[in-house]
Amino acid sequence: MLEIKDVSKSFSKTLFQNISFTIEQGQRLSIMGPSGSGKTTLLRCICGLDSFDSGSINLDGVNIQETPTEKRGIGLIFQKPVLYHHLDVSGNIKLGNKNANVKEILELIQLPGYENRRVDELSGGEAQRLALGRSIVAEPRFLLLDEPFSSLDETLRKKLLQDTIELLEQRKIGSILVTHNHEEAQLFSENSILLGY
Amino acid sequence: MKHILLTFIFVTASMSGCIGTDESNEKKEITILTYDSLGFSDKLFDGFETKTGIEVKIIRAGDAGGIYNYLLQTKDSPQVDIVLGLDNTYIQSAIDADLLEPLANNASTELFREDGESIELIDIALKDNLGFGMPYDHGYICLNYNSELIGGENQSNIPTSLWDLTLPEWNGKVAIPSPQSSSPGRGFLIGTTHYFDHDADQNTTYIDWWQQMRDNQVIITPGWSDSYEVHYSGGYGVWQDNHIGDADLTVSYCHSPGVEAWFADNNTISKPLDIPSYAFHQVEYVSIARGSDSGNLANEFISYLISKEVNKDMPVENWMYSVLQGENLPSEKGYEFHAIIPQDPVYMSSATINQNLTTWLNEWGTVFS
Amino acid sequence: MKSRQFHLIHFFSIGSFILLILLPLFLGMKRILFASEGWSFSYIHSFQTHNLTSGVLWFTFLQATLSTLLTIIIGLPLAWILARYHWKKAPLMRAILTMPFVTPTIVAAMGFLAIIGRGGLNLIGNEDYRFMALILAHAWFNIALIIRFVEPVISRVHPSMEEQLRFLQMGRTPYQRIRCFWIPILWPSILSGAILTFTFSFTSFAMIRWITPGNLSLESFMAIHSSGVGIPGYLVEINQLILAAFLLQLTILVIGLGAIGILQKKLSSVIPLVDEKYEKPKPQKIRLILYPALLFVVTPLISVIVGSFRIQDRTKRGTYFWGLDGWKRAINGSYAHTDIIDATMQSLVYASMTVIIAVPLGLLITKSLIELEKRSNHKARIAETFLMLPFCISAVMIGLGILIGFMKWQPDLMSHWWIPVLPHIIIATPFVIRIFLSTYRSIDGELIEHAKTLGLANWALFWNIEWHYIRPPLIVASLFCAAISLGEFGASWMLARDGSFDTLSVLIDQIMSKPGFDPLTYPTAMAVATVLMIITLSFFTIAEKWRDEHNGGGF
Repeated sequence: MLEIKDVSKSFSKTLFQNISFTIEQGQRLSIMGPSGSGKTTLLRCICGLDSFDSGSINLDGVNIQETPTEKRGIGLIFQKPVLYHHLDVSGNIKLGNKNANVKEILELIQLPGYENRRVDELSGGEAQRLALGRSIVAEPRFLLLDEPFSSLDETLRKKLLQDTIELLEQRKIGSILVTHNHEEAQLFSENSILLGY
Repeated sequence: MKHILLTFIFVTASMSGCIGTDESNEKKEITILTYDSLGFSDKLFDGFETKTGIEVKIIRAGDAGGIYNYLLQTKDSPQVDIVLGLDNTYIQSAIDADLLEPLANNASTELFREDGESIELIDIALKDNLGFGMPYDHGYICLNYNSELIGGENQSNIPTSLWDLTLPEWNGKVAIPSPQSSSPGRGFLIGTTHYFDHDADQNTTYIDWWQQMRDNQVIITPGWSDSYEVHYSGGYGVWQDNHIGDADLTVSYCHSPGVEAWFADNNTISKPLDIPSYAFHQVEYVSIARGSDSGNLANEFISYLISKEVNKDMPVENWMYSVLQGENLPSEKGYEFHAIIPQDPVYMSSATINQNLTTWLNEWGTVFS
Repeated sequence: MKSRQFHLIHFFSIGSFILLILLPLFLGMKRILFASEGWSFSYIHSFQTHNLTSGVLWFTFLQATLSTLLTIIIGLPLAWILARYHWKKAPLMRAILTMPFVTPTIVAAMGFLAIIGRGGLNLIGNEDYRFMALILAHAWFNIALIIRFVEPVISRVHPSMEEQLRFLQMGRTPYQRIRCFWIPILWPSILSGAILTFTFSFTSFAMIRWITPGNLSLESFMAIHSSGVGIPGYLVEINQLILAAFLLQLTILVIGLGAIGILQKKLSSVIPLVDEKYEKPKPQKIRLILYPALLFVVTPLISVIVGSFRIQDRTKRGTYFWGLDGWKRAINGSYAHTDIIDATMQSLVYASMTVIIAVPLGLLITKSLIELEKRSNHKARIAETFLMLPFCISAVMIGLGILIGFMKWQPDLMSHWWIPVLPHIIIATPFVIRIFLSTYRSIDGELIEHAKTLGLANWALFWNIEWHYIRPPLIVASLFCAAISLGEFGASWMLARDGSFDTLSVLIDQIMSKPGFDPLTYPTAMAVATVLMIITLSFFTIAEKWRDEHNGGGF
């Protein structure tokens, strides 16, 4: 269980104040809000890339404020997929987990046979699928998605979102999606939080 | 004599003037080939230019070997008029390779004698190389030693024979520039061949000595300055804070301590080692390059160089003795006092040197390879 | 018809420069082969065993390898902190750290000699210290290479790339992040910088000649014995040794150039080229790394200046006094056939001639390469590689080529004063091409195409559009060319010792070659070195100004 309790952060101006919510293992949640409302920063606070001013974040009842990012068991997918150009597709997957079954995961993210492709040859959708697959093989308990599909066109976006939901359910990974798209939020989860309104 | 010469020059000059003004302008220049470290100052050449109106162009070709190479490769299309700096270890090979113009062809040797100077050395040298080179300076190659460490009370004794230097006492304490790349080094090697040919022990040769020197950790450096400045503890190189050179003896000229004194207001701790039959007499020559079309302009330069006015300054211009009889080192600042003319120096004809030098260098090379 | 004409010009400009590089080498090779009485692999063996050259190859390799390692050790942290932190005066710091690379090598040699030598640390009597000083001098000279290669790569690493890594199993520990990310990302640029450093240290001449005179490298061996080669029937053995040295060095350098060519492709592929702006942290304690580095860079330069005022007092052991006598001697004195004024003028004449020829030539070649790229990328790449040859063929090899290839066939050329301009052009033109290539590649092709639709062609196009873009790099290239020509030592030393046309760098060497009995010899040489340093570095400073504003140049 991931528990966000009264978390506040200001950065020259108040970004968000007293945010509280909990999310169970395997559950999904969307956070909505206009740009500049601190959605991304909230995610970065949760996974430990940024610090916050007050409140606490607990994982299974343990305060993880001092736990470094890499030990929290929380994954993050950036808005623009971060791929490593010095490695091919399977190399990127193996960064997530050295022992990952690349063939299987590529089939799961619907990129079969892409093992030896160079990552700079991938399309936007393919790149984000790869980032997703790579995050999943790292076996996080919670996965944070920071508007990962915003740069894709609508049909592709929907398809990818659906596939992502399927994957998350299959692996019982809890997840938070940050988006400014109402429809996307509804599709992703029953519950959503509004920021900055 | 001088008048005839002047008339001759005048006539030649005016005749060439008839042929064309361009050509006469061109002819008023001589090109001098010399080595890199020539001590002559600009003043010396300027003096010549002012005195004669002849422009001087200098080409430098490394060392004496470089001069020889330059002459050899431009043999078929001569580029220079004057060759300045072939010494008695090199001149014979240049003569043999037909790279020099005999001086007598241009003018009688009388031509160069100014002010009725008695110049014995010149006579000897001219006889030696049959008139292909005019000596302009000379010196003797000696070991120099640090008198603060050698010869005093409770100190090492002054070596009296080269064999002394092979004793453990001198292990690693002698620095010698390589005869393969240094001209004092070459002179010293020649000196050793003579020394061991004439010593009492007929069973040993110079090579045995060099071998023992090698075993005694003699320091061999590529050039004179490395031996003298960096390793020798008695010269100007050691006038450094806290620096003590590792060599108590080095190869330089027998008058080098005099040069030291000249620049240090009569202060020096360096002394020449006076052992009989080892100090090579080095003579430097000025010659006319084969194919030079400068005619009397070249002769004028040679006259200028050995004129009393210029040649007496050799000790302070090129740190060598003047070739003129009666001219010695300056007595000021202890220059003359700290220099010696060694006992029984090695006078070797350039023909003998030329015949043997390659063998000596090769044999030396095998000892130190 | 018109396009065909154009084609010829392009072909001619590229072809003529390649010929200018290769012809002397070819003719030189032909003559030295003749004088060596043919080629045999046994020459390589003799080179290793002959008493003149045994140990030369080992020394050359050893010093170049150690120099390269030290350069990386010093350069890498500097590249890192310059790239990762926000420095208010970053361009200035980068310029200071690049200064050594444009400092004439003979001045660098004088600087280090002043540090370890008389009146400095007095370490000159010990061969080991001299060797260390040489390695340090090479590192000093080359840190700019590592910085210029590595810093842009580190700068392009967006923070998200590191952040994302922390969520992945293979990036959880710093060690894993170094192994799986930083090393794969950085090695091509480090290796490129390292190979160039190795090449420059391998072919270093002035510094080896003056800092470790007891050792010969392949380069200094070729230079010092160059006068005796190429004469048939004379010094056959030396010819063979030089030939062996030449081929050994050529092989090693060509392998280096090839490796850099391959790496160049890798360089662009390891990391996305998109430059996203992000905020860098302000340097705090990290300043403590940079400041000593800046001190390291300026110390040899300052030592040269200090050395010109410091005179040994020979009457009192171990004492010095300060005075202007060295400068007085340098300016008014009678110490060499060429005085400082003449040498400065001659240096500037050579530099201007180099600029006048190399800059337009480089521009023309660049335009031709760009044209060629449009037609055939493959051919353009081959041409580019050949054009970069002078980067790796050393100054002495070029000098040797001209000496043996031209002058020994045609001895009349010996007395022609303009000869040294030739190697200067050969050495400087590739830098010009590098600078212009990066400009032309960054000009938006659509701009040109749009201009063409407006009816602008050839000259009109050039004056109205291109000229605007190439003016800053033109200035940078000209100043760089001048700086290269001023500082060039190896080829000038071999070709320009015609005393009436000494350059400043050759004059310094000449003064230093004299016996040092006279205590003013040393300060005089340092004074001349100071003049050369000031002229070169002021050119460099002006060039840096133009480069900052317009980002025009690969070097």
